[in-house]
Amino acid sequence: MLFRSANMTQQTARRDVTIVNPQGLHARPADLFVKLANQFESEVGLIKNGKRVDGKSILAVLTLAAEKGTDLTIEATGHDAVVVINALTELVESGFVEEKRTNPQ
Amino acid sequence: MQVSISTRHGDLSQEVQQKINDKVARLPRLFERLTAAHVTIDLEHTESPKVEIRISVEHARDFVATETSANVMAALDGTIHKVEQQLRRHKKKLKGHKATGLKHQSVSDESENVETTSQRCQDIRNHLMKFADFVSPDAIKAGMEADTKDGVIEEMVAALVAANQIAQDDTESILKAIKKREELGSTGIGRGVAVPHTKHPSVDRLIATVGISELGVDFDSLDGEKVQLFFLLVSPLDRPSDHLRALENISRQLRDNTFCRFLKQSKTVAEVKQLLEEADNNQFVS
Repeated sequence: MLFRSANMTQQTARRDVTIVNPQGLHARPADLFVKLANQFESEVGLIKNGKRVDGKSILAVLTLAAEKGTDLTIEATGHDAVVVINALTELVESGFVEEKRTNPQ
Repeated sequence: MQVSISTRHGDLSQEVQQKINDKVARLPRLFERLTAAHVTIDLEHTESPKVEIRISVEHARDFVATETSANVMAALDGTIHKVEQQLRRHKKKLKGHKATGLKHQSVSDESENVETTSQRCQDIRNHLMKFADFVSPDAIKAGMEADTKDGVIEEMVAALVAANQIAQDDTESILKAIKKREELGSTGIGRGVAVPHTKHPSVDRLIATVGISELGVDFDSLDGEKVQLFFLLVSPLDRPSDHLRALENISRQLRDNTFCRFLKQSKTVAEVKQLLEEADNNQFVS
């Protein structure tokens, strides 16, 4: 695995996304985002209004306080950058699949 | 806050008086600097009872509101609504003064960030929350006794009840909702910090408390570490942005190692309050 990744070229991928779920990027979605990001080797960043935070740290992601309608850029650097960007974009655009179940009401 | 009730031209049952007392006793949730509330119920016109509430506040004149309605409880609700509006306006005024004071302090922060425009700084300043905006000082717990996840949640909710921030009647439903949320995934966000929370229809603004456990509690955290710092949040149904801003504040402040370590070492409520205040004044910004 290590040898294979070492042979792959490093690349950077970027994608603009919009938070669509009504509650915004709160604890549960942030948790899902970070967990998914950590399944990949690429370094992941989340950018809001020019402020960039580590997309693999939940404490960092929560400091964005990204409400519904917020535009974010996901940036990944590594051999699996494109795959991670695709996966994370899908998660954000789906409104964090589990959003409905996280609402206790 | 002291609540006293008096009636004119008639009497009210003990039960009704208790209900009135419970409702009025919840006013400090909105504004904590209330010292006393006096409720007068005039039953001269039985068809249209009149309720007057006089509230004493630190460093301000009394607030008075009256309302007449078809029954005592409806008149009371109307009066409470009026008083709440007055208190909100008063609170806003106080906050406005604080905000202008801050403007001068934060100039240096702005110049460090090249990418932000002044408009954006304005937006951020208006939106950033402080601990003082949502943590109920009377509900803070240092040296928590609980040693289980459920125990922690129960101890903190009980502290909010004791501080008149949530009603005894709502306790069970709030506890259930917070525990249900934990089942979906722990709110232990790492670094020995957890943010158990829920939305609940009984609150009309975000309320929260802080708890410190000296030994730490197994909270199924994302990083597997025991949790020593708890921020328990109960939000109204319709204010997702307040909840997000509170999470932003907590996570932003706790990324600072010094603040995080000091808070974990706090042994008394006074120490916790002091640290939260220092954090609010940006004394830990690294």
